[in-house]
Amino acid sequence: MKEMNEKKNQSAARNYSIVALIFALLACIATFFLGITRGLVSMQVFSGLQAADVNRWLLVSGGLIVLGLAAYAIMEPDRVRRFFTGRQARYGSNALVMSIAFLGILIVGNVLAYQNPVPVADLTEDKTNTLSPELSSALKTLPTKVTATGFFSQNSPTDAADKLLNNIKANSNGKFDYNFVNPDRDPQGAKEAGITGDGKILLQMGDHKEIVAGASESEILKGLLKLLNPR
Amino acid sequence: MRNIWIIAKREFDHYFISPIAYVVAFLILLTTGIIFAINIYYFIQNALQSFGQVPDISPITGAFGFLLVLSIPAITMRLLADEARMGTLELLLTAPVRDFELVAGKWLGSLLFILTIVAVSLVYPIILNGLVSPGIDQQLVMSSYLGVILVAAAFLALGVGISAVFTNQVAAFFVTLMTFVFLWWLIGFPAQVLQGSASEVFRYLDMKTHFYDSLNLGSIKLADLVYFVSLIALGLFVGTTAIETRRWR
Repeated sequence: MKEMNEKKNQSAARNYSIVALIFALLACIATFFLGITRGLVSMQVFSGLQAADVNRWLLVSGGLIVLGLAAYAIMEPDRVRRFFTGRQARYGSNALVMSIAFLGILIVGNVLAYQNPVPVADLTEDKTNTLSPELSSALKTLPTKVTATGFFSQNSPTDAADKLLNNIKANSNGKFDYNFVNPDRDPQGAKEAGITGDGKILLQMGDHKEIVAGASESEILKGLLKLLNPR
Repeated sequence: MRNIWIIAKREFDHYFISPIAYVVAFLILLTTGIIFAINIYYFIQNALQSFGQVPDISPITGAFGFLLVLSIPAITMRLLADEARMGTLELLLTAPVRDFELVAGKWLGSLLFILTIVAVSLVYPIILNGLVSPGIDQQLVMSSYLGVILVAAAFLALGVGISAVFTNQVAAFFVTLMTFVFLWWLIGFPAQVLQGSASEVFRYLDMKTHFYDSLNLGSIKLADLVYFVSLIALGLFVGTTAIETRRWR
């Protein structure tokens, strides 16, 4: 009779343990979606939600995962013990530790390389990738992103300008971007930007605008300095 | 090391009896050839207005880098997935070969195949050098080709790693393609939207930035080299771990 009661209790515990596991799984799914929401909030895609609220819900869902797993461990101690002491767990944990250590080494290596953005070599014959020290330091002091719009008609090739602007972009740590507009095809856009001639470049930083006479390092430097020190 | 070389050589020879490899090589060389011809035509047409601009090899190597995104999944999909499907992986695992040697051998074999295509494509800078007086910037050619080789090596390592996880070639192909699309295009998008350090992290993870904004322009940065070497190491590590888990799974 006593044995039968024990078996009954064990079977009931097994049923509840599955519920606890499902509970943990649902909490896990909720955490995943909340994590995505948190990312979208930080990208300012959702304006109605506060980051602090999403963080609170993330904490709650994380807590529920722990609670569900803990309840399962209490109800099924033998299974949990077997899971952690089994052959797969032993090898699996070894592989996990190795993976974490390996990823750690890769991340540290990349962070160190990123913090030292010194060009190893400029292999071009005329050193086209080496910007003047003045322009490099101006790029480093940019507070926000600068967008350059080159107004080049079909009569003015964009090759040289494209090369220079691409080089500036590559040395700007993401704070400089550019595009080209054909003023013959978009005369309204050119007029709105205040462009009166061919081959001119409009530099824009927030609300500040500056028109540069041509695609040369000195002209762009002059324009950037004017943007950095508006009158 | 000897084992790696034996496996690489076997794999390299195997490519030349596979139709997929010929199709991939043909498509890469045809597309870069068309771009090369258009590039030459454009410069001849605009010679008077180019203000001393000379053509260089970067448009061709740039297109080559892009074509690798689409073609490498077809090269790597069968490497280990096919061995697992055919049951020959078990035989390989019982041979006196370490897991890493097996994965590195497969990677090296596929890299040698891509290097063969790269070697054939060197005909473009040679022709260009003959057309332009006094010749093209040869150091820029070296840097651009180094970029292509690093992109190929990183993609191949990731492809081998993913192929080791799957037993189905088609699944390996699509997962590899999706991973490449993510690394080449999608990962860069948040950098356009986000501000501050989060934007910089995504910009750093964007593979095409390391190629188009540096190596393909003749500039070699420490961060680019570390980035590509890290991806190669990651791919080989994933492959080795996936093979290792087959022993105790």
